Amino acid sequence: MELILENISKKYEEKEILRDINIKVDKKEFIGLIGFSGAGKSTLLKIIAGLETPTTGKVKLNGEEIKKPTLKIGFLFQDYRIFPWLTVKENIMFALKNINTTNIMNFIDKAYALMDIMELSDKTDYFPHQLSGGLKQKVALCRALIPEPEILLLDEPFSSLDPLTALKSWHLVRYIYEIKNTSFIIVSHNIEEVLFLCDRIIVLDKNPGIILKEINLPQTWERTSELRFKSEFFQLKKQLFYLMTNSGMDEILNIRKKLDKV
Amino acid sequence: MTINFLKFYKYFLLCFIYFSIFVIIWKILSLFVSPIALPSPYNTFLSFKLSWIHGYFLKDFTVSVIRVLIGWAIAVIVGTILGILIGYYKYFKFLEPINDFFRYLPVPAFTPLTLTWFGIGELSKIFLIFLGTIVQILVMVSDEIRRFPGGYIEVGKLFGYSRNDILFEIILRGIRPNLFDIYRVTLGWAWTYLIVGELVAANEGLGFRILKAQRFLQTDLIFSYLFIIGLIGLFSDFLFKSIKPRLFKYLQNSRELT
Repeated sequence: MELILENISKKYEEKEILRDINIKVDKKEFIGLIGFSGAGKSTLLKIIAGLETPTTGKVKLNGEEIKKPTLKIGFLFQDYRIFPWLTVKENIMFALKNINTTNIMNFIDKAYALMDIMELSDKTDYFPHQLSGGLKQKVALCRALIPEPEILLLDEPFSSLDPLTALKSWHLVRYIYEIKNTSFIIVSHNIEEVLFLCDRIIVLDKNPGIILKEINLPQTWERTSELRFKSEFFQLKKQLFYLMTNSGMDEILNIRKKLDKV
Repeated sequence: MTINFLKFYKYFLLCFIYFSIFVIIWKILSLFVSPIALPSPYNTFLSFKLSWIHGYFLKDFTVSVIRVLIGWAIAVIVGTILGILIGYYKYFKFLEPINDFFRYLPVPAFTPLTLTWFGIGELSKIFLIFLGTIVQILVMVSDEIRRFPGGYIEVGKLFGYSRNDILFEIILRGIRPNLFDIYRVTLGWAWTYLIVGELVAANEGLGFRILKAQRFLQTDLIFSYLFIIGLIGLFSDFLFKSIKPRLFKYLQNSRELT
């Protein structure tokens, strides 16, 4: 598997959202896209998924240009987007319809196995409104993984969870990543989150969104709860914090100037 | 269970209290006004009793209900199909201004035409009901389709669903509760158009009886029939509202999809 983003730019009317984004994702890589709001992170994910077209540039998956959504690329949305009118099981099985296979039973078995891993087995007949935020996320994650995508895109999936549930979800997502043959790309504002989950972090600047820096994280890191308290983790967190605040500092200074006048 | 029963009990107790206040005010007012303008509650009840004893109430009621149900049901079927086509497929969008044109024409204005086209038989009344409700159903259904959250459509696209699959397996499933509400509201309007049709050309029916009563200054009978029409509306509304949570269990304790 190889995903290549070639000179991706995106403009909405006159507003430039993304400029010259070049990223290469190899098989089984966990990449974090981090940056201020308005850096075009979510737009970039939608372009990769084929939900939006870039103004210039190409997205190539295994040499083939992505022009529309494909089952090879999964997506986990910030608001999960599980259908309120379907039960947990129906929501998950929704992903099965267009899988081109002679052995659909194999996928159904895998779906049940995934539900088991995510502790959803006893909630298959529940409707989404009966689930907590964490469980809704698990349903959406399960659904996204059913077609066995080569890449899974995660758009701020933990932002609406409480800190403790989010922490549990980090572990779950990292565990899923480790047992699957899928590359993950996550968009986030949370520095700790991307440091914990990812192998490589790409920092985006805003107005327009350009790549500010790429940081490869140590491959020796064990993703345990202790990781967050290691000195190396702290140093990288500090480095990322300064990178991000520098890129957003102009805006903060402008707000200060305005406030001083008042 | 007990809490539900208490809520139900309280609801009916409140309804009874408000209804009693309404009847008392009505009774007091009727003391100061001529019975031709405002009959007393008791006289209204008596005239209803007479219409029941003489058998014409049941006949009027049955005929009107059948007319409304047929006209409304046809409008629901045709209006929903056309609404979906207009709301989802650009090739049918041209029908929308045509529908809007008819929507702004007052249905009573069509009465002479329908009499010319369909005579004084059942068809003219059913057509008026159909015409009055279809234009509203059509615009509301197409709006529902257009307002459907794009996020769910994106999910369908990501899982390889075709445009038609997205319509049938996502949008139409998602808007079912809203369609149900549209049908409930338009059933009320169907009654309005029934009375319009029956006031002009009919030999039986609730509207016809009201017009006949007016000719003989039987205001008490008019009041009793108006009361019955109101009660039918309340009953059908109650029926729709009580069926909805059973049909769409996922709406319990959650926001409706809009």
